[in-house]
This record gives sequence, structure tokens and C-alpha cells, in this order.
Amino acid sequence: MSKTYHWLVGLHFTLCTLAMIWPGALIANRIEPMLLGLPFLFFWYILWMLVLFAGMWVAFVIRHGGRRHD
Amino acid sequence: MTDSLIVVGITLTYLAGVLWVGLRARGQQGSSLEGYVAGGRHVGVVILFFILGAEIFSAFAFLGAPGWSYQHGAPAFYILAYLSLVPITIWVLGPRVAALGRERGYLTQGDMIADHYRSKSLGILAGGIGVLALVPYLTIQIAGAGLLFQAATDGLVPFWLGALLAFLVVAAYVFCSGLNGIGWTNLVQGIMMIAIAWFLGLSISERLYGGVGEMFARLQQAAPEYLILPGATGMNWGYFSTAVLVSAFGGAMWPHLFMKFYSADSGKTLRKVSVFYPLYAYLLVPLLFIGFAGILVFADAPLERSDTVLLRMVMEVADFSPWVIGLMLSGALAAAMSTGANLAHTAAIVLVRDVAGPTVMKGASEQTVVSATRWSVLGLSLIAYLFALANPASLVLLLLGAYGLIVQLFPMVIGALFMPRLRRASVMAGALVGSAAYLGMEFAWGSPLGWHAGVWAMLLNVLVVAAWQWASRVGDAALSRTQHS
Repeated sequence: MSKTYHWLVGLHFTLCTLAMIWPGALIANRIEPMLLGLPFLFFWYILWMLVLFAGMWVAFVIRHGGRRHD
Repeated sequence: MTDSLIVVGITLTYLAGVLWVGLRARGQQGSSLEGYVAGGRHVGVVILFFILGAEIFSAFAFLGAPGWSYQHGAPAFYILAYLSLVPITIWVLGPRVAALGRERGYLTQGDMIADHYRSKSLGILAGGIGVLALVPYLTIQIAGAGLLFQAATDGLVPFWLGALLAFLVVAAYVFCSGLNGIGWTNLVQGIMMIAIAWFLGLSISERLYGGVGEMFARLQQAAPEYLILPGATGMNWGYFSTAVLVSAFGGAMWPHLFMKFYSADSGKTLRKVSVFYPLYAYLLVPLLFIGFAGILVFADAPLERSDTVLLRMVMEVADFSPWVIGLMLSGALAAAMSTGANLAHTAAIVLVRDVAGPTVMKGASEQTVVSATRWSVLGLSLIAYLFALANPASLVLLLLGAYGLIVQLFPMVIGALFMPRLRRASVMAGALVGSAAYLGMEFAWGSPLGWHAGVWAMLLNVLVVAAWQWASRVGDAALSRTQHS
């Protein structure tokens, strides 16, 4: 796999990690607006769990999407 | 009384079902070591997903996690954060571990460390620490099962009997079917857990507040400090963030997690499991709702033990029928048992292969090793059960201490996987300094800035490894100069 691929996957992981701890979660540390009935900070975690999944899914399909190679 | 009988009846039916699935899973692979330990390295995506999920979601998910949101509020999101970050480690390390294992026949962490660093004693050490950490962890699951049984049946099934029933079932299918038994039962128990957790979380907030949105709106009026960090108890950002990092990235050093990498049928399977893994963390969301629901309910008379919040809500506040309570008990037991099965299985393997293998059982045949592992499953489960009855106060300290030490294996494992130039002496020195620093901070000095001690210990560990590497390179260069002159 290309260098760009590894850089992008690493960037995705770093971004998701930082979003869930200091300083990323700092910017989301409020109650309003309530989304899906949840306080914003709670929603923020739910959202990033989904972002992490989506990014990994794309990375997986790019790398393992074809039928062969492991 | 009749209510409690219904609860017991449902739960016993569930236990019998799990036992049946577990015993039936005993395939033809059960008799070889690789089959018993790693499912013949042929475990596919679905089963592996549920195995890895079950390992992380223990009795803590149903007891501790709602307890956190009840007691602290928003700091409980730490659990969501670290659980959803665990797959990063699986993505990065998993395929390499699986490939090395297949190539060189590794089945444990100790195998890899001992072989890579050419040091049997290092493997024995890693194995010893592993068993020391796994047994108290297993004890906590067994005690959790006993506690749940006793509370949900109003004492009809006492602590000792509840714990015994749940773990007889576990010991029986792990003994007979090895990893195949664990895999199939974890599938059943995982589905059970997810269904029960969402049902309870949604119906409790519905019954008490008229919905999740209404519940949080009420909390915003009455106790807004619970909804944002630092929460009701004032957890600082440094601790919150470092605790997430240590749990998310150090967690993969737990032998029961790490060893499952060997059982995957390919690296691609592991990657696929890690992709879907963050979705498993959604299991925790409804359980956190239950803790949040308890904040206003118990506002006037706070609970003495926060980890009883789910039981109190289900049993006393929400007024569920005994059928629902029976299902709740089954779901919560599923969490304790599915983790416990993995812990007993792993502890037995580590004990026999890493600790006894190079010492008292040198040169034993594969048949002997398999049966020794099987009997160790029973032996260690019994020890953990007796621990649970005795309930020594030092148990949590032992778990905490041993877990801190396991995390310090990180540089050693990374070295074996990706950095062949790391030397045995430097990773050993790093692990020793890191472990000593961790124990010192955890039990004596306290941790600087209020951060999680594991982060400081890891930084020291890495620094020592780097310094030692540099010093020995300089030393080698000097030596070769003197030899040439």
C-alpha cells in the first residue's frame, strides 16, 4: 500500500482519538444544542464512534476490497 | 416468592441453553492444542467479533458503567471513548501478530516474547504476570454473577450458589470445547446482552420520564453539571484523557485479547472485525441512560454503592414484571460469563504453556499439554470462586497492580512486531523501570498532575528503552573501534 494510504489512516486514527479526549472534546463540552434527545457532549461521542467506523470501513474497502491479497 | 421463582426459572433456562450451545460446539478440532487454544486458527469474522466484544464487555458493563454515569455523569463517556478506540490497536497490531503466529507456531504472548528476544525467562515472566492479573479479573466476574443472582432473586438464590451455577456452566463448556465453545456461546450471549441493554435503557427512561429526550431535558433543569465535563465529581481533563489512552491502547496487552489475534483465519478478518468493533460500543449507550435516569430518582437518598444503580432501578423503581427481571438477570449474567469464559481459558493456557511449559512440563506431549490446560481451566476457576467467596480486600489492588505491569509490556511487544533492532536488555530495562514507577505512583507517591499513572510509567519506559538503545549502540561502536585498532 502507498505511503499516502498509511498517512491518511494514521491521520484518521489520530483525529478520532483527539476528538474524544483533550483538546477535541473541549470544544464540544456543552449541553445545547440537544440532538437526538441527547446533550451535545453525549451526542459528540456517539457521532465520533460512527466517524471512526466509517473511516475504517473506507480504509478496509480500499485495501482489502478486491478479492485477493491479505 | 413466586416472582422470584419465575426469575430463577427464566435464568436457569437461559443457563441451560448456553451450556447446550457450548457443549455442542465441541468440534473435531477440540483435541489438538491449536484447536483447543486458537480454534485451529480458523475463526471467522462473525465469531471473532463476538469473542472480542464479549471480552471487553464484562460484568462491569451492567454494574460499573451505569454506576459511573449515576455517580459522575459525563466522565462516564470515558468508557465509550476507550471502547471505541480499542479497534485501532487491533487494526495496527492484529494482522502482524496473526501472521507471525501462523509462521512460527505462537499461541501466547509469552511465546512471541521468549522467541523473539531469545529468552525463556522473559516468556515465563510475561506469563506469570498474565496469570496474576487474569485470576483476580476472573474472580470479579464470578463475584458479579453471584451478586446479580442474589439481588435479582431477592436472596432466593444466595451469592455462593448463584456464582457457582453460572461458573459451573462456563467451566464445563470451556473444559470440553475450548475456543470453539467460547466462540459460539459468546455469539449467543452477545446478542442477549445487546437486546437486554437496549430494552432496559429505553424502557426505563420511557417509564420514568416519558423518553430519553425528556429525561435529559429534566436533567438539564435540575442537575446540568452531570451532562458536561468535568462532571458532578470534578474529574479533571488530564485524568480523563490519559485514562482513555491507557485503557484504549494498553488494553490490547491483556493476554486474553492479544491471544485472540492468533485465532483469526486471516489478517483481513482481523481488520474487518476492527472496522465493526466501534459499533459494539453502542451497547453501552443504553446502560449509561440507566445511570443518568438514577440521578434524579435517588437525588434525596443517594445510593451507598453506585454500581448497584441498575439493579435498584430495575427491581424497585421501574416496577417491571418478574419476566423482565429474569431476562435482565440473564443478560447481565451473559456479560459476566462470556468474559469469564475467555479469562479462564486464557489463564489456563498461559499457566500451562508459558509458565509450566519451559519448567516443570518440559518435553510433554501435545496430548498431555491439552489435558493439563483443560484441568487448569477447572482448577483456576475453582481458585477464583474461592477468592470470590473470601472476597479479600486486596483483590482490586492485585488486579490494578498486575494490569499496570501488563501495560508495560507494550514496547517489548512493539519491538517483537515492528522494530527488530530493539535489544533484549533495553526493553527489559524499560519494562522494569516502567513497572516500578507505575507501582510507586499507584500505591505510594500519587501521580504528577493527577494524570493516569500508566501514562507516566509508559513515557519513562520508552525513554529508558531509547536511552539504552543509544548507549549500547555507542558502546558497540567503541568496542569495534578498539578491536580494529
